[in-house]
Amino acid sequence: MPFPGSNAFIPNTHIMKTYQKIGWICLLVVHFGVIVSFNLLGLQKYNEEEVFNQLSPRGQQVYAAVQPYFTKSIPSFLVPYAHLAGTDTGYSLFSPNVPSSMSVAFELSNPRGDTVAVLPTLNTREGTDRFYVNFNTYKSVEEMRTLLAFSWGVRTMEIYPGYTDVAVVLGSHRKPSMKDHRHGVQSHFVESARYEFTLNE
Amino acid sequence: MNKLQIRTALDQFFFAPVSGSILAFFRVAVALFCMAKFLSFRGDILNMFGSYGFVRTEITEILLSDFKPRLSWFTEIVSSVGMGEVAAIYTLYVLFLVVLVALGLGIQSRIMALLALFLHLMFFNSGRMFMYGVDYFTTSALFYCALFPVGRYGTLRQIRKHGFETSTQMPIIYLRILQGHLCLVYFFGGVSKALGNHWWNGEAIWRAVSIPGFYQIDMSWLASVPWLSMVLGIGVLFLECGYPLFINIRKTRPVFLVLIITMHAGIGIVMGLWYFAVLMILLNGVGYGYPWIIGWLTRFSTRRESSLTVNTSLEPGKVASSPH
Repeated sequence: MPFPGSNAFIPNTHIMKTYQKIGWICLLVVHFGVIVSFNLLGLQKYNEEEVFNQLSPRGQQVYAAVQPYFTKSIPSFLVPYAHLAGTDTGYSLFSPNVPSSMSVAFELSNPRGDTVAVLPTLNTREGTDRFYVNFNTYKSVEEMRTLLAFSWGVRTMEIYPGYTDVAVVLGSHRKPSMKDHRHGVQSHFVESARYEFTLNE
Repeated sequence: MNKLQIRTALDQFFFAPVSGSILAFFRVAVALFCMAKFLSFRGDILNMFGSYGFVRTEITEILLSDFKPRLSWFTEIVSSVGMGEVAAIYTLYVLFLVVLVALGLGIQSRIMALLALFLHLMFFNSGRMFMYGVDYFTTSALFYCALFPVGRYGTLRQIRKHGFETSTQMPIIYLRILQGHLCLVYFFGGVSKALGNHWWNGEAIWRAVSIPGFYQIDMSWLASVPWLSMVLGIGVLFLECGYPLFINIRKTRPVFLVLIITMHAGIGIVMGLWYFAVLMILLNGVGYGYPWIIGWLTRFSTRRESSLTVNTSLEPGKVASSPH
């Protein structure tokens, strides 16, 4: 018995001309080609020593064997199309492993000696969640780090007026393995960078 | 199998007719989803997209190629007529919501879908540092709304004239594109995870459920049952790597669809990534669960029609009976 929505319930009156069919098949091929290319390009990050070492021994063997066939670059004319289609990205989130999560805190102070430590202050839960996405860029683009820290620091000083100095403290939460956790090891915060900015009057 | 048979089989696979009501469902669902997503951070519009937000415009734009749409294209133009940046951003925000309403209702669907896609990209690129996977998939969903003839089915005008028609049909190629996209998403997601070791020994699940930014519920008990983490981790690998195969086999499709929806619901519950979970469930539902959605839409429209018939056949003064 056919299930609801299958062809049996629908009169077969639809007609698509041959040239339209060819056009759609061509589009399908290009579209999937773009998705595959961006994903293979994204997998090039596994070539970096830091990431490669996270692969399992078998994973390293497999990757070394197939990596030479990966896309090295995307034809420039396809990049705007991929951007428009939302496919200018890879789908390898949380891979090869789930990384240590980064965090940021702001230490505000003024000449009177008042000091306060605050976390990123956004007005909505969704906004706050999305703030942490910033760290992807922070980690991946080294040249941007100081600029991003500066931008976050300035905005925090605007939200908390009356302070003249801000220290942007970045670090990661080191999560113990399940085995270590069972033996009482707790996750801890490791400071990895500190950026200090002073307001010029 | 001769040439003609192969050609017929291919033609059936790519262009067999299916009810167009699934595209109406897709259009309405994508529009509602985009509205909900944008309304969820309405209090942080300036923090995320303003030139003096958490990431200054000049910093965001360092990473943007020239062709990528951004809010500053609009704010710079309207500044010449005296409109400030804040007013300009809120104008675009409201315009985006209005466009989504029009898209959902099927008013000039193609134009509205293109406009929604362009406006979404403007916000996406200007708040680039605040965007993640869900925003890429939203762009893809709007792109498909612009590409597919979503305005041919179930528009407000058609419903007012003829009721909700589920008998109008479309070639299945549109769903095949969405299905192929989903298969590639899970395949690459699965393979890239399988190369590491944390997804095999359960450490990945253990870490993922306790990321401070996404921390929802206390899952520390998981450390006491490491086999469960391991099963879940390997389960994710099996689901993602096996998706392209098992979702396309008719017999295993319902099970895989339920499992993948469960996985996304789990991500929503444990990590709080609800928008991501809902969008992936929606895409899977339309891509592979369309027979059930069409069946549901057909039952809904039949019930509605029969209730209308009951109502219109009543004599004046009589009370209408319930359609149930």
